[in-house]
Amino acid sequence: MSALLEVRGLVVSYGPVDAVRGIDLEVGAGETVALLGANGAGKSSTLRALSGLVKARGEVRFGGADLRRVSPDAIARAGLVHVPEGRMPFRSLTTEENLLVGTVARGGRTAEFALSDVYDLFPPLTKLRRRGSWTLSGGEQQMMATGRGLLAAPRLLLLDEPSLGLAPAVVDTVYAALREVREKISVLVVEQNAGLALGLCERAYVLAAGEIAMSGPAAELADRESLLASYLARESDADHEVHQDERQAG
Amino acid sequence: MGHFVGLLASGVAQGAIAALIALGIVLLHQTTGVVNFAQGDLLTLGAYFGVWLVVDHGIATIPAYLIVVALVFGVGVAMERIGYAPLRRQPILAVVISTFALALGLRSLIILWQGNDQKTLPSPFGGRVWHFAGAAIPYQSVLIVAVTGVVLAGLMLMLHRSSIGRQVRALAADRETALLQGIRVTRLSVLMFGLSAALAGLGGVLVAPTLTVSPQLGFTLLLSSFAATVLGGFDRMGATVLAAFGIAIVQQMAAGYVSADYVEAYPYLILLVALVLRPSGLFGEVVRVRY
Repeated sequence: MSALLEVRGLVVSYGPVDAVRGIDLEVGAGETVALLGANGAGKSSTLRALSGLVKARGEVRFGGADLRRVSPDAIARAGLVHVPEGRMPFRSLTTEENLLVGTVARGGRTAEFALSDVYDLFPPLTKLRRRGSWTLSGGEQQMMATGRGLLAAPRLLLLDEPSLGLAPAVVDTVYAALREVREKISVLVVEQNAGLALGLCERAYVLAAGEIAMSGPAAELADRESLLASYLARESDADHEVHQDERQAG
Repeated sequence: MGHFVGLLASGVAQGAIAALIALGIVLLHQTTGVVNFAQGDLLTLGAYFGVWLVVDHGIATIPAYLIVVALVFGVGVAMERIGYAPLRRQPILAVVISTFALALGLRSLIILWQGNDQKTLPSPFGGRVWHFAGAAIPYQSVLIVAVTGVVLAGLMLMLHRSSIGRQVRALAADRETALLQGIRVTRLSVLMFGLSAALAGLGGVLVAPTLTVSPQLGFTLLLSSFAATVLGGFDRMGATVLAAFGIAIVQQMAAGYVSADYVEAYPYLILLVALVLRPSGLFGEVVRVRY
């Protein structure tokens, strides 16, 4: 049995710096998987490599097809749909126009979530349909971006930091929707908030300094709380030290 | 009164042509990042295609105009293939300079084909004029404004009511996210090169009967359209259209009441004054920088 998404030896480099250093990763059909890690651990770079936005070495197979040398728009139309960090609304479009752009990537697949289902999933969007998307709050933009991704009829939805910068009540709304989404669609979610992601997912990988430090069923990882915490905190501590060095130097 | 109305009418007609060119510049810049300096020469080409079809081959006006638009669309697509596609991974400045080269190449080809002599394209209305409020307005001017109005309305409908229009606007708003949403960015770039060229070509065939057709025709008109794109802030199509009409009307009034000798300098004078007063364009929000 081959997984929906198979990644072998993925390396992402920015100049001489390796952001991702040869990771293996799999997402099975119907699975919900988390990719955890501290700031700068290589999570976003991994997602950007999967959706073709940055060049990468290694093997990426999606539904059996080799994704190397496939352009980002063709990857999206193949059903690997990436909801980017920072939600990235098309600012000059209304909320509903943003959602409708999602349907471009359908490529003949039937969407599990139609436009009306997206409004049911994210009720606050209903009233904002005709509003310019630049007026939306961060949480509303996250709902819109997720809805836009769902309308593309994804076979695998990649979510980059869906809870970042949102108020706790809004995070609850977004994650409640994601629990409905995962019943129908395979999901790979990148999160800094490990507790949230482990509650949503079946399995998780923990990235540290561009390498997989831990992986396994979500429940097991949640039990090894202190080890997990040490990986998630490590990079931000390193950041902290750098800042202190800078301060001393200055 | 008649003098004023006459100047106003010719300002509106020239504004319409400037708006067609300027919209092409803005559409292309928004979707591909390229400022196309060949836009003026595409207008010249449209005028010469008009002369070639109507004068040399005796084709009727409406089919001739449609053929011109289709031909210039094709030339725009060819320009994308020659001047943009091979440079896609190069800095945008390289592409802008390549449009300069294409502009010069296009002008040379026009001279090779049609020579340097001035030509005339007769108006389908002959020299007939519409007497209105004491002014004699050529029917060709009325045609220019009517066709531009229809084209602008069609363009707005396309951009705001169709899926392809939404994709164009999404691409203009955020290229990377457009890619993530599966928008065929390469194909849309080709379409935008063709569409903006077609707008210039249409402007050329419309304006030709009111002027003499020479290889320098488009370049002169391009400069005042460029002033309109700068005033419009380079990103707002509605503002750019308004600026194009505004500049042309002020230009005609100044030519009529002040001095006709400086008619080609007025757009820059207007641009200069406007930019001193509103540095980010007439309609842009002024961003205050604190030091």
